[in-house]
Amino acid sequence: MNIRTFAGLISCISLLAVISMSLTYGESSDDIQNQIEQYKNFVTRYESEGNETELTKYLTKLGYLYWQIGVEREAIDYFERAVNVNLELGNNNALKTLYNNLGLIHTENEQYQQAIGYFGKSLQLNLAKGNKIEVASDYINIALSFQSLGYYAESNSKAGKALDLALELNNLELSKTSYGIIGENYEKLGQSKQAAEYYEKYNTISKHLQKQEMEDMANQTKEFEKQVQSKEKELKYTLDTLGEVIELNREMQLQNALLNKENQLKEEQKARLEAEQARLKASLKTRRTRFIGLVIVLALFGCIIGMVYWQLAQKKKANRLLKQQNAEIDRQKKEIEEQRDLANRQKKRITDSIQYAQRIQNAVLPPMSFFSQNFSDYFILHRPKDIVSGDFYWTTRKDDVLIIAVADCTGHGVPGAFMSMLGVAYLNEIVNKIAINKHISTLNADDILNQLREMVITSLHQTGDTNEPKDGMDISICIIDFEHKKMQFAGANNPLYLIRNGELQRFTPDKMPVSYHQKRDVPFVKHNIELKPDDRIYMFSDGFIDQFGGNQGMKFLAKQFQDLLLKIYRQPMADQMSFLTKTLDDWRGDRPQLDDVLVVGICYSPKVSAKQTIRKNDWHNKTILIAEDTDVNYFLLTAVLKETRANLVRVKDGLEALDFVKNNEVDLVLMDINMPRMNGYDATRSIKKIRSDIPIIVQTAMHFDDESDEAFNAGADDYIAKPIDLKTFMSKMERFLS
Amino acid sequence: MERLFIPASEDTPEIEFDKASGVLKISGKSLPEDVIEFYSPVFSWLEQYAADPNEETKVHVKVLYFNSASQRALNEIFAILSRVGVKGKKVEIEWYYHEDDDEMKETGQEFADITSLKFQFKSYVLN
Repeated sequence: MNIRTFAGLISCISLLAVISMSLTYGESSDDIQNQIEQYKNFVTRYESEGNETELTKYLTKLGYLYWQIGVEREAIDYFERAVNVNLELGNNNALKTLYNNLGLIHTENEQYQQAIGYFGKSLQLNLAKGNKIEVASDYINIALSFQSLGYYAESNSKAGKALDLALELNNLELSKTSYGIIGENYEKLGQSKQAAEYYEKYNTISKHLQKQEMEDMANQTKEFEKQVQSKEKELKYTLDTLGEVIELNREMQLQNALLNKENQLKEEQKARLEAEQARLKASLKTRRTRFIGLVIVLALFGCIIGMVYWQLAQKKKANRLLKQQNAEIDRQKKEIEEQRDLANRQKKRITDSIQYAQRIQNAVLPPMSFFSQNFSDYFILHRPKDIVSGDFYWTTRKDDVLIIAVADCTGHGVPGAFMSMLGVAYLNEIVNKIAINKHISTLNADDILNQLREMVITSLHQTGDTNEPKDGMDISICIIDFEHKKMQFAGANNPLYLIRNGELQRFTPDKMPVSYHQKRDVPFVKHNIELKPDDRIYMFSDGFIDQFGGNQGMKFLAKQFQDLLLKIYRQPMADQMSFLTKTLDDWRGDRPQLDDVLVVGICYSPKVSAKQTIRKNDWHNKTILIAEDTDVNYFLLTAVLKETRANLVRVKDGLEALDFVKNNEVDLVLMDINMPRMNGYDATRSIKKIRSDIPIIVQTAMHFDDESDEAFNAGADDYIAKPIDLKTFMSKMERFLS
Repeated sequence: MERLFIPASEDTPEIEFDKASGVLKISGKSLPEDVIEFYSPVFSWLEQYAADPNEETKVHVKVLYFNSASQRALNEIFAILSRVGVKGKKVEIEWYYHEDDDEMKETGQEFADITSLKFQFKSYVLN
C-alpha cells in the first residue's frame, strides 16, 4: 500500500466519523430552520383563523426551537406570546410549563430577577392547583435564583419550603437538591456547622440516588434511545410524520396533564431528565460512534501498519536481489560497451578506407569542366547509395566527336565500385584502341558495347555457370558528332530520352546487359539520331525510376519520370537537377535509397562545339615519364594526355624513374608521391641532382597543406592536386612543354 | 516432394512452390545482397521438380522489383523450367505487372522471347 491509498483510507474513515457524529447531533440547523419557517406559517394561519389552541401549540414549539438553537430572545418572545394566548384560554397547565421555561431561560441568561418572577408565577399556579411536587420544584428554582443573586437567607427560606414538601412527599431527589442548596447557603453565610450538617445529608441521599439513578437511567436510556431513534427516523423521513409526532407529543402532554399525580410526576421527571438525557444520549451516541470509529481506525491502522511492515520486508528482499542483479548488469554493460567501442573503431576504419576509395573513384570520373566546355548547359545528378558508387559516367572528346556513357554496374557500394573502375578502364582502352587504329569519327556506339561485353566476359572469366556471379553493367552510350549534328546511341538495358519542342522521344536499348547472357552473341543495335539546337538529352541509370516511395510504396516508374522531365526540360539544367533531387527525396520519404542514382542531362548546342576551348597541343615529339604505381591513376593520365600524342612512358616507383632518366631523354616527369622503394620526393631530389633541367610536376593528394611545400623543397617545378582538373593540368603541362 | 515456402522479407520475395497443385508462385521484391545464397535452395527445388514434373505447371510471377543479379536468377529459373517444357509437359507463366510499369512488362516480354515458355501477361493496380 502506498501513501496515497493510506491517505484515502483515512479520509474515508474520517468522513464516516463525521457523518455519524453529525447524525448524533440530531437535526441539522437546516432542518430546524425549515421547521421554524413552517411553524411560523402555522402561527400566522391559526392566528388569522383565531384557532388559539393550535396557535398556542405552535408558539410554544417555536419557543422551544429558538431555545434549542440558542436564540433566546426569540424563544422568550414566543413563550410569552404563548403565555398570553394561554392566559386567554385559561390553560394553566400550559402556563406553568411556559413560566417554568421562561424562568429557566432567564436563569441561563443570568437574569435571575426575571427568573424568580416567572418561577413565582409558576409557583402560584401550582399552589393553586396543589401540585406539591411542582411547588417544591418552583421553590427550588427560586431558591437557586436567590442564591445566584447572593440572597442566601432568602434562598434558604425557599429551599426550606421545598425541603419540607420533599420530605412530606418522600421525594429523595427534591430533598437532596434542597439539602444541597441549604448547605451551600450556610456555607456562604459562614455557618459552617450547619453547612456541614446539610452537606452530609445531601451526600447520603446523593449516593443513594446515584445508585438508583444509574439503574433508572440505564433503563431510561434504553427506553429513550429507542424512542429517540424512532423519533429521529420519523423526523428525518417526513415533515408530515413530524407533525404527527408533535401531535402525539401534545396529546401525550395533554394526557399527562389530565392524568393524576403519578402522570404529573412522570412528566416532571421527564422534563428534567430530558435535558440530562438528551445530553447523555448525545454523548453516549457520539461516544459510541467515536468509539466505533476509533476501533475501526485503529483496526485499519493496525492492518495498514502490518501491511506496511510486510511491504518493507518484501522491499528489503527485493532490494537485495536488485543490488545483485544491478552488479551483474553493470558488469555485462561494461562488457557490451567495450564491444561496442571496438565495433565502432572497426567501423570507422572501414568507413575511412571506403571514403578514401571514394576519392579514387571520383578521380577517374570526368571533371565538370569537360561538360561545361562542350555543352551550353548540363547537370549531373549523382547520388551513390553508399559512399562509393556502382554507377559511373565516362566521357571523351576528340576533335568534333564527343562520347558520353552512363553506366550502372551490378550491385552498389564496394562491389559496384570495383566494377565501375573496371568499366572506366575498359572504356578507356576500347576507345583508345579504336582511336589508334582508326579515326575516332569512324567509331560506332554498338561496336563499343560489343567490345565492352567481350572484355567483361573475358576478364571476369564468365562461363555461364549457374552459380557464377553474373557481374556486368547496364550502360547507355552516345557519340555526338558536332560537325554533322548527329548522334549515335546504343544501350544495354539503359534507354536515352530526347526532348524537343515538348515531345519526348525514347530510344529503346537492347534488353541485355554487358556481361554473360543468353543473348551474348546478339550484337548491340545502333540508333542514329539527328540533332537540333536546344535538344535536351537525358541519360540515366535505373536508380531514379526504381526508387520505392509515395503512399503505396511503388516504384517511381518511367512514365512518371518522363512526365516530370517534360514539365521541367525548358528550365536551366541546374534548376532541373534541384527539382529532380527534391522530387526524389519527397517520393522516397523515410524509405532507404534503393540503388545508386545517376541522371545526366545535357543541352545540345552546336555553337558551343564550334568553340575549341581545349587547346590543341601536339607533343608527338615529347617524351613524358609517368611515375605512378596505381593503375587507375595511370589510366587517368593517359586518357587526359592521349590527344597530345605525346610519348608516354610508365614506371612504377622512384628508383625506376631515376633509372630511366639516367639512360633516356625525357622532356617532363609526372611524379606521384606514394610509391614503393623510393617515393616521389626522394626521386625528385635524386633526378634534380643529375638533371636539374628536366621539369618535374608532382601529383599530390593534398591531405596536408604543406604537401606542396615539401614538393617545392624537394625541387619540384610544380605540383598538381588530385583529383586532377583538366584545364589546370594542361596549362601546367603547356608551361613546360610548349 | 515437399512444398517449398520461403516467407517474404524486406529484400527477398515470397516463394511458394507446391508440386501437389503444380503451382509455383514468386511474389514481392527481390534485392538480396547475396543473390546466390537466397536463390540456391530455389534452384535446387526446381532442379528436383524438373526431374519429375507434373503434367501441367503454372508459374505466377508478381514481382514489384528485382535488381540485376535477381534478374539473372530469374533467368536461371526460366532456364530450368524450359527444360520441363522441352520434355513435353505443359508450362505456363503468368507474368504480373503494375499497369503503369511498362518496363516490368517489357522485361516479361523479353523473358518470353528468350525462353520458349508460354507467357501470359496480366496487369494489376494497387488499391
